[in-house]
Amino acid sequence: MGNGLSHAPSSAVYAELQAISNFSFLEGGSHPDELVAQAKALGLAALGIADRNTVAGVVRAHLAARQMGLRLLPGARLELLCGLRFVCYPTDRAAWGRLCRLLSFGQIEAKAPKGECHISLDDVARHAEGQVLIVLPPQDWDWREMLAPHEARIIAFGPGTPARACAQETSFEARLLDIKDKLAPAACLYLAAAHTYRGDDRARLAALDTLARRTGVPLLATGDVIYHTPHRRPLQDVLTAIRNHTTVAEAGLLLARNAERHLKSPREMMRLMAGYEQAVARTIEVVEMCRFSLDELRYEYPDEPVPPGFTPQEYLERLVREGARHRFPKGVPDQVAAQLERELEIIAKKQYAPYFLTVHDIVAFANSKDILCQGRGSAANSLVCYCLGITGVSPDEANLLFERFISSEREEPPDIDVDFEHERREEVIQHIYARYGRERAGLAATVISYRARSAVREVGKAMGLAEDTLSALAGMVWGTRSSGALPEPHIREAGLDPKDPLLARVIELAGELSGFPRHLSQHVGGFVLSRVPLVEVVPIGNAAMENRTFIEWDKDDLATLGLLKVDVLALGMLTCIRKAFDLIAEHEGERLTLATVPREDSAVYDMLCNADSLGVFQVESRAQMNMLPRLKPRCFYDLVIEVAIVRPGPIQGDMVHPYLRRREGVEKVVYPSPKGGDKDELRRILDKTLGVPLFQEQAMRIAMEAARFSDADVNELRKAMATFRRRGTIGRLEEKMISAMVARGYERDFAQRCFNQIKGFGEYGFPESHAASFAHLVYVSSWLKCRHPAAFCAALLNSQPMGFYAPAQIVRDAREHGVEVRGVDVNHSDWDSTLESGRNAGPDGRPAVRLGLRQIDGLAEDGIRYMVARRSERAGSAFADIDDLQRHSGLRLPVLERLAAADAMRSLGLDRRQALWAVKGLADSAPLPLFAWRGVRETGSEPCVALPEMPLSEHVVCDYQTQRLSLKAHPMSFLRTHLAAGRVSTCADLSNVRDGARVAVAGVVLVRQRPGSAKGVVFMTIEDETGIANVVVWPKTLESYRRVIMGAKLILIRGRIQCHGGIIHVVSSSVEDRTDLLAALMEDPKAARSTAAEGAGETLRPSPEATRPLSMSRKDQGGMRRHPRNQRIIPRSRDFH
Amino acid sequence: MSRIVSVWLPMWPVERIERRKPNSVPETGPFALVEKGAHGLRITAVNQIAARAGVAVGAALPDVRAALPTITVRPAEPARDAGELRRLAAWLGRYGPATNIDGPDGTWVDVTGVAHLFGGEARLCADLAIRLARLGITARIGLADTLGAAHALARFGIGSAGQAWAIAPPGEAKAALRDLPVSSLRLTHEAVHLLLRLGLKRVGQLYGMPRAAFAARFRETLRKGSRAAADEAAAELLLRLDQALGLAREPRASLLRPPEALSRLAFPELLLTAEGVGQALERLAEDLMAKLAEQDLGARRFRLALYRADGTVAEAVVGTSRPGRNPVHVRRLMSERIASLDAGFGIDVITLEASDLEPLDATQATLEAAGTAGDDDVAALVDRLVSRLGSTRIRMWHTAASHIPERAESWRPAMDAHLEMSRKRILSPGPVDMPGKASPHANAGPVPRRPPILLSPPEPIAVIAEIPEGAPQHFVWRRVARRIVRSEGPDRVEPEWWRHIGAAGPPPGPRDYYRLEDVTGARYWVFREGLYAAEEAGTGDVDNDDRAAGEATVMPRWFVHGLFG
Repeated sequence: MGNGLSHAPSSAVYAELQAISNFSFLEGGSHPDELVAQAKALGLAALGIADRNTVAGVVRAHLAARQMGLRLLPGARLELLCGLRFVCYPTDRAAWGRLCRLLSFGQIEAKAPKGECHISLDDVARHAEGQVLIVLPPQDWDWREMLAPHEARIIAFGPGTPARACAQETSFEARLLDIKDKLAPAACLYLAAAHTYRGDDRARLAALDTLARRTGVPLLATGDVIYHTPHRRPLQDVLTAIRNHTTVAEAGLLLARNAERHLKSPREMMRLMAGYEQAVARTIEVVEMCRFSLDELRYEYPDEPVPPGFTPQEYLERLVREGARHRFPKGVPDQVAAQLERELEIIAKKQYAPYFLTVHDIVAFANSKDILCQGRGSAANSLVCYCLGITGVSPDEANLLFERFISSEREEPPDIDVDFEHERREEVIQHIYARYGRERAGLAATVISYRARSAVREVGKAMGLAEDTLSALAGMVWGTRSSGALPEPHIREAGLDPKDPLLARVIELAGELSGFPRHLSQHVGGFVLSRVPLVEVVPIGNAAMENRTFIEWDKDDLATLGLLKVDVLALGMLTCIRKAFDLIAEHEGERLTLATVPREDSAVYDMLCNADSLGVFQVESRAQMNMLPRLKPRCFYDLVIEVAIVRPGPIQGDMVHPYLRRREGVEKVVYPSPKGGDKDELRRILDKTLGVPLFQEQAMRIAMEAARFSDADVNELRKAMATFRRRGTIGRLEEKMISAMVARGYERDFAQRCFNQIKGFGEYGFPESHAASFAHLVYVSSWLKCRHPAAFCAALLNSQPMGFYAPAQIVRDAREHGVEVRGVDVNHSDWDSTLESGRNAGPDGRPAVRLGLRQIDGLAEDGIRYMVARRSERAGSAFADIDDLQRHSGLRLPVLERLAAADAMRSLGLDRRQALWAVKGLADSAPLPLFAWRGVRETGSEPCVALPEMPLSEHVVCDYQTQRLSLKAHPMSFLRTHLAAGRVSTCADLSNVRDGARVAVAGVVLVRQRPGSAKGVVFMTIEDETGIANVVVWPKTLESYRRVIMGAKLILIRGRIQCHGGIIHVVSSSVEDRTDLLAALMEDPKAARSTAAEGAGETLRPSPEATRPLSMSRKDQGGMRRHPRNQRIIPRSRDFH
Repeated sequence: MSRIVSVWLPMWPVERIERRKPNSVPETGPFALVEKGAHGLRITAVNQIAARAGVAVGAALPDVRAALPTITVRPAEPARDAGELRRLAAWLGRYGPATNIDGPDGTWVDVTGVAHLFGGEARLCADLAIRLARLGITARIGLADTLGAAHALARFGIGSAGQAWAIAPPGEAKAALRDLPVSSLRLTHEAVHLLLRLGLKRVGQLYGMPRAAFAARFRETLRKGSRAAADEAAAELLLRLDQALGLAREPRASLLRPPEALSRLAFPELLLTAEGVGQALERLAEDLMAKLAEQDLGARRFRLALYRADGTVAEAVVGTSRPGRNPVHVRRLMSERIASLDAGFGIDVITLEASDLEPLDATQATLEAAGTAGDDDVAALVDRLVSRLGSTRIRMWHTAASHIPERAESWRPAMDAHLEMSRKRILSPGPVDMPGKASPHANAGPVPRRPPILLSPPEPIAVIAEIPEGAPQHFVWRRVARRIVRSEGPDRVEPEWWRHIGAAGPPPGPRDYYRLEDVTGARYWVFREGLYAAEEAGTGDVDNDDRAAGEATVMPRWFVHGLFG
């Protein structure tokens, strides 16, 4: 290509090979797909993306490039410890493997801190074969080193003194020769030359050209791109400021002087590089040399799970047959056998057997260690998974279809997610590392992105907003989880002016920044296993957690490339169920498993129909509790529906009420049908759900059948659903689906609702199979609660934190179900809550729950377990007194003090106050042997001190402070006389009040919820000594009483009763914060009197009106800060936004 | 037997601000002072309205704001609060000879044997309460035999008939304290907490308790500290109780006057000559600077007052550009002024006072040879010139980190510029470059040299140049045509977008700078503001389309901005 090119612009060709994306954190200003789209629009021949020591962004770029038909070169920019920089592109698969190895080496072997990569030129040399390496001139390179001394002298305009420049110790030329010496000919070297708009570009390019000629490393034109268009310069400046922990205004010369580091068209590049057209043309030469594409990364399953002598398919079939015999002890029904054959056939055809075996292998390990596990998601559609023990629900039980899991048409690999007990999942993870080795097993990454809140905070800081404004601005992102711009009312709500131009700019920039990746983290449990070393597929880096390594790609990237992963997830309820099983086995002699819990027990359904589901998996939320009495589940499939119906999808699609009406028989079950078409077109899809689409796949099938969507359309719809939150690509599909359905004679309204539901699923969708897996756990946990309430209560307490409710409510619920619950005690309690059965059983002979010492805040597990062990060695003889306890339990004084504070020494004859006095009198450390032998205190005996007796109300308060629950009484009971005088009803009274009546009710706030689907309505659950009450706060009331509603621990509500279908709500009209009443429980009567008298102590006020100045609480006085424990009486409510 | 008045100022920080800057505290809305803590801003003080709305001291500002969006806040200034509290304590000297501050929100004054001057103790308290109220200060007052008892009464005592003061008659501290909460005893919160947990909530409950048992238990509360600290804590509870009851002595340091940095010299014989004043100044300066050094302070203002025998005062005030305590420097500045001072009939007292005090740590004497400490030399020179010629007449080149040439260099009053520069150097060390991380410098290579002569403002010129980015081949400046023989560029500088947020009109376009040399050898620094639109330029770039579209209506203009020597 000669000089003629510059005069024939249409034939200009150029590929940009030096571009970074925003995966070069806080430097790149554009998403990979934005770069690809812009490159395509500019007509570049290809685009190379090379981020700083990472390939984390290339898969996204690859996907975008595949969709847009642009050639993409995946690569990385190597930034060496010595300061040298290369852009590296592998020419083939093997070279890609070497690049990945190099980047992994720089992290793992070099023991670099997380997020860094330490490599040297020698490391690069070892992995250089087959790479194209573009040497970047040092950032501070002074091109005048290329001038002969006499030339340097006549350069009149040059900066600084040329003499000094020439005197540099190692010139770039020397280093370049050294590089060439080490890397060539294994790698193909180029020298990058970019036009920088710095004024001296002509001279600089000439110097580079000279350098290239002298060293024989050919010149290559690049754009040194960091964003796709110049409009990203402000954002890039902000990133620079964030990176340097400064503000944009103060960053000064750290910021770029112009906005030229964007993608440029081939013609523009030709113009800028006039005279060096060869360097532009060479980009095409590099593109042609680098034939590697990410599509070449083929997945190969590991061999381990297949024993020698079998093919994977043979072995799988054998396991399935064994499993089927086990699952169907009465003989495998023909229908099941036929289904199994069919599934195995498809698996054989798609060659997925090793995948099933891999998952089975992990599950088998868990089973061997008695770790409960169960598959979730679409795997429940598969009878093979059921027979292998991966899932717990037989597909025929829930009418599930295998095609939804694997279809012979779809080219996507199946996805099996398995839940394990949350406390023991780490064992499974370490087993996987041990079995496959760190070279071949890695956790997927999760890309942690800027979200609205963090983006506003960081941008605001960089733009120099005051800390105060910043907090207000970030604080207002309350409940908005989506990225993107903040709505104006929110800004006003925070007391800021949305019209303020600076604020507007901050919000605009924050909108751009949100969605930018900020760092990589490990995925919760997505494992990638492979036969070839994983480290040659993708770089592996250190995780922040010890003993964890993770790959650089996230689950979307893996799906794009078709790499297989197994999700090893954690589920708290499995822990709870296993613990309950263990307790039952120990105390009631019955060994249960997930599979052997008796099915379809009608007492369990009776219980659920009464909304008696506290602590149960999934259906314990308030919305679910409201739904249960309306839905009245009577069989397993009802539970599947119950799980699926209280989700944003059906709610947004307005499917809930039609379904309930039809179920109650109020509304006729009709199936919409097209004019003149098949009458039963939708009946086949919606038969199970009475003509109302509730599940994700029903909506999809409606799209296929009623809107005649093609497979491609459906696939697109599925993808759009998954990414709906991120991109607004769904509008076109919406129009298409609705118009197609209307054209075929469906009502527009029905079509719209179907589509709304699909959109809702995009937020949080439950496919039927997933609902079925969860429903199984709902049933098992309900059965435990119903049949073994004591064991269930203890197991729940031992699995905290999990679920919606705090220990206080769990204990209360158990006591209401007739379970005796006994308090913590040094002589009776273990670390965990236990059952006391046999001789020590409750009055009705049923086991009683003994609270574990884990209930007490701030105790270390090891010390308590040691004490329990020492206690059991004494074979039944209890600790007799405090000295005995100190001497023989191994507990240190601070621990004893906590135990005393928790009132756990009653068996020593000490209440908490006496116990505290006794503990405070002990010497810290075991007594000297001499004294120990004599069994006397070395400090001698003390005079007896009569401490004031602690009133019950204060005991209750102290119980709450130390254990967050009290068995002695409910704090509200002490306030009842006071409240009753103010005509405040109890929660229990509410059920006797007619609909619409005005009431006042007070209680401790348990839960506050502001669901996204409820348009700003806040739901509160409050509790008093008689029960709980549900409170609805409309946005208007919320505005007037915001502080009280957000902050009160004890709240007084006035409003109207709303009674619907047996569910009672209080719709609040006014609220009052009465947290002060709780504090009053601590006061003794004398103190209460002086508080009352305080009003007399009026102070002279400077202002004319005589307001009482001392409204601040007594505890603040004397210049003392309140002790944290004084402040917290009732634990914070659990708030869900 | 002493009699002590203790004054508690519950609203002090808020009221102090209102006193200093009237109308800075809203009368009808909630208001709070905030301080930056480890986890963001925290409330340190509130006004009545905020207190009534439930805003607690110690709460996080975002939480408070979420609940009470109308609250206005100001940063707290604990140092100033303390300083002015000390001044208030000094003012209390009118009631008694000994006075001092008591914590961050209280003061005391010893009124032993002086109450009759005010018509009795009750009258004294009333007088004090009224005077404080007039000053806009909320206060509660306690009067008792001991500081401990007075302190407790001020904070927890109940005055009779709605009074803001409570008085324990002589010898009755024990009875007066009986019903007060134990937290009134000036204990650590650990100790108070333990007492409360033991059910010992009132001071009276402690009276009969066995002392040894108590000492043993309270030793445990502060175990974390050193052995000595533990013993101290053990002693504390009993000591504080004894102090309040008058069973143990409490040393009280009195504050005769605020610890201003002031040195005073009195002469038995009247001083009449300038030399005498000069010598006195030398001694005063040495003495004053030693005092400042003790407190790690430096001053930016010094006032020399000559008290003449006829009851008049002559004074000289000098300021410095940096806080300092160099006696030689102050003497030199003062001596410029002393000459003009008139001794009159003679001087009997001279004081030298320092104000505008700022922390100034001890400085490391440099190991390198003199000459590297140029900073101080320049500062001293600036001060001398300023004190002779006035602060606006001495200006310095101020350099700023900016790509925009006229922002990068500017004239500033020398005292400001110098102070700012030296502060910046101390407070913000340069960014650190980490291996494997992004390099902080977005700019490659050395910064291009700028001309020594900048025209302000740049002067427009008519230019012939190639479109879009060619350097001028010919231009007319100051009516002289210049033909260019050598050129370099463009050097593109974008405007600082963050300075144009909210500004009216479109933001200025980027500038392309060129360095030019004409046939005569004269060299110019010329720029074009704005880019040629894509159509005209003929490049048809997609990327430049948007940018050009907004500016297409404005034709790029050319300017001369500087001349190379």
